[in-house]
Amino acid sequence: MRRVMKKDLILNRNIMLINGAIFAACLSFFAIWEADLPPRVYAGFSAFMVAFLPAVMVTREDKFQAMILGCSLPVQRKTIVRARFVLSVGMGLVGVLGAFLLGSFLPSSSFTPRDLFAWGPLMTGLTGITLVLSLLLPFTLRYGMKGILIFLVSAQVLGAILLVIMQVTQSSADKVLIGKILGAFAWIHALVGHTAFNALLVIFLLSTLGVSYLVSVRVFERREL
Amino acid sequence: MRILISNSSPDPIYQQIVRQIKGQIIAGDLPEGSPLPSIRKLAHELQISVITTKRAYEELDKEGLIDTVGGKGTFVASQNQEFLREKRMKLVEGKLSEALEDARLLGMSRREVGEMVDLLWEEEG
Amino acid sequence: MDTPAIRITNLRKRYPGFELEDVSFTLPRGYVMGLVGPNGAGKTTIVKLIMNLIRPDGGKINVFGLDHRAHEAEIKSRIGWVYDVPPFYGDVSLRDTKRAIALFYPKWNESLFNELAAQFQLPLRKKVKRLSNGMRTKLALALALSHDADLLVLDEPTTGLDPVFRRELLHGLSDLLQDERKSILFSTHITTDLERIADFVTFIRNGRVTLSTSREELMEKWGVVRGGEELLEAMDPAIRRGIRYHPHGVDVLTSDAIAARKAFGRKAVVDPASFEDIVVLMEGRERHA
Repeated sequence: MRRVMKKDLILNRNIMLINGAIFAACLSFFAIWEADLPPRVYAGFSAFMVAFLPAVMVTREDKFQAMILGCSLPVQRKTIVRARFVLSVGMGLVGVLGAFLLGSFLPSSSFTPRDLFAWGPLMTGLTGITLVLSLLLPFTLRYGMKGILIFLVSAQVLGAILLVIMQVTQSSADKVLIGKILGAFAWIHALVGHTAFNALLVIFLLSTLGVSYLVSVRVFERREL
Repeated sequence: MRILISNSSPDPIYQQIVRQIKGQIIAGDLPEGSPLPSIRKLAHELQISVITTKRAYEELDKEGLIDTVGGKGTFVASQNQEFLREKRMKLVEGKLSEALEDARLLGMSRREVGEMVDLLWEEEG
Repeated sequence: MDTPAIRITNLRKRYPGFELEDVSFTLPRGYVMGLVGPNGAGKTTIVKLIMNLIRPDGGKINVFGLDHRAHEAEIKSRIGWVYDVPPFYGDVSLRDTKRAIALFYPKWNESLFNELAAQFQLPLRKKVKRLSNGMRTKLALALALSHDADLLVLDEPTTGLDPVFRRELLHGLSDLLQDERKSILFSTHITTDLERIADFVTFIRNGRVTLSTSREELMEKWGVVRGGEELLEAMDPAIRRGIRYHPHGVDVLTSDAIAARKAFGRKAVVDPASFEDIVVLMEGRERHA
């Protein structure tokens, strides 16, 4: 698996650096110019951005049909999936950490290290990465770049349908729902305490990632190149 | 050992090879014990299939002309001495017959021919 | 009996509009097999099935005696592959491409690769996108030949190569086979390439194997009978395997040239059948106006 990750790093090196620079620029902009940005939102946003890095890798793969290369090498498909997951999560973590460092130490940034390196933003970052990757990776492994489009389009369609339903039923169910979810979180938090809550969250995230992995393996083993 | 094969010849390639190697063995160009290239080497040199050279060698082996020693290679077989000798004797016999025919036409006697043979034998030393 | 390098039995693959059906052939270890057929016949599909890039709908593929999917990684570590379109990242240098790939082959031979790269004149520092198609194929070849592979699977490796390089390549591949543990599967629609190195040939057309045999047998038993149309009646249909009509008569592909020569003597010319003859004539009927 390590070899697959190394291969992906070697072959995507330049693009990663370029994208890293672009992300850094965007994040710097937000850190500096958005005066009242809550740390958690910054964390969530950077997590979201960083989690899409694998998408870049996938686009290139599609363009050069490089998955054919990957699958012709002496590795099992399962191993390729595992490497993809580890690399993506790894890059996500590094990216968020970088975003935090940037936000903390950039001159004229509106954040201090204490703002960002707190449980709230950290957990938000972690959650953001995990949820996005868990959803994105199976799609991209099965469909490549098309998968991202499918993902985005489905999300849009789903959102549109929900909006229509809410209009029709004249409900403000979305606000109520989000309120209920956040309320539930707060309730659990209060119930089990800070540490336990975070622990539960981590367990939940790992399970989500695990499920995503299993789905990805099954789906990638069927993929025809 | 030089082999020339022709794609336009009616004979199958393996037969061409057999014939040429056989000819060279008989003519003495390939003395007993000479190593022959491996079937793969020969195939590579002649740019033909290894199956063809394999077949040619199998044929030569069957005729007792070559021997394959496992691990060492293929060599011209030793029984050839008898075979060679026979073949060569036949050649000599043929030439003698011709000479005798000419001698008779000329009207030479048996004794004259015999003397000539003795003289020539002495000369050759 | 030595385990064959490749044994394919009743392979089947369905696509909308194209079907690979009942494909079977065996490549014994130590030999070269050519997979010949027109474009679209199914050669690339077969190669992709062997490399498990696509899954069969039926049949079995054994490589080195092992099931090609159950032992995928083990098998692939002994296979050197070249595809008709080399799947390399355009914006990566040749050197980096090599570095990434070499990781996976335990028997990687760096000095051999460098020798080949020099011989093929590969500009290692340049990015792949700067290379012509022919050069990309050469890169793929250099990579495939640098890890002591027991089996080479080459899909149309000579298209895009100049005739001089082509000949050198074929000569080089033939040299490789001095080691009788190595085997080569070589798919192409250029029949003259095979005339140089193939030991066995499998002819594919429209997803089916029309003939799979050794070159020996081909040269010995198969032939093309050329003469007037009356030949057709005189010929035993069982050995009539393909007919082509033209203004001056017919060419008939026969699986028994010896019998044909006996039957016709001077009345017809019986030429040995070339690979091209088989591809063109086998089970086909073409009429020239």
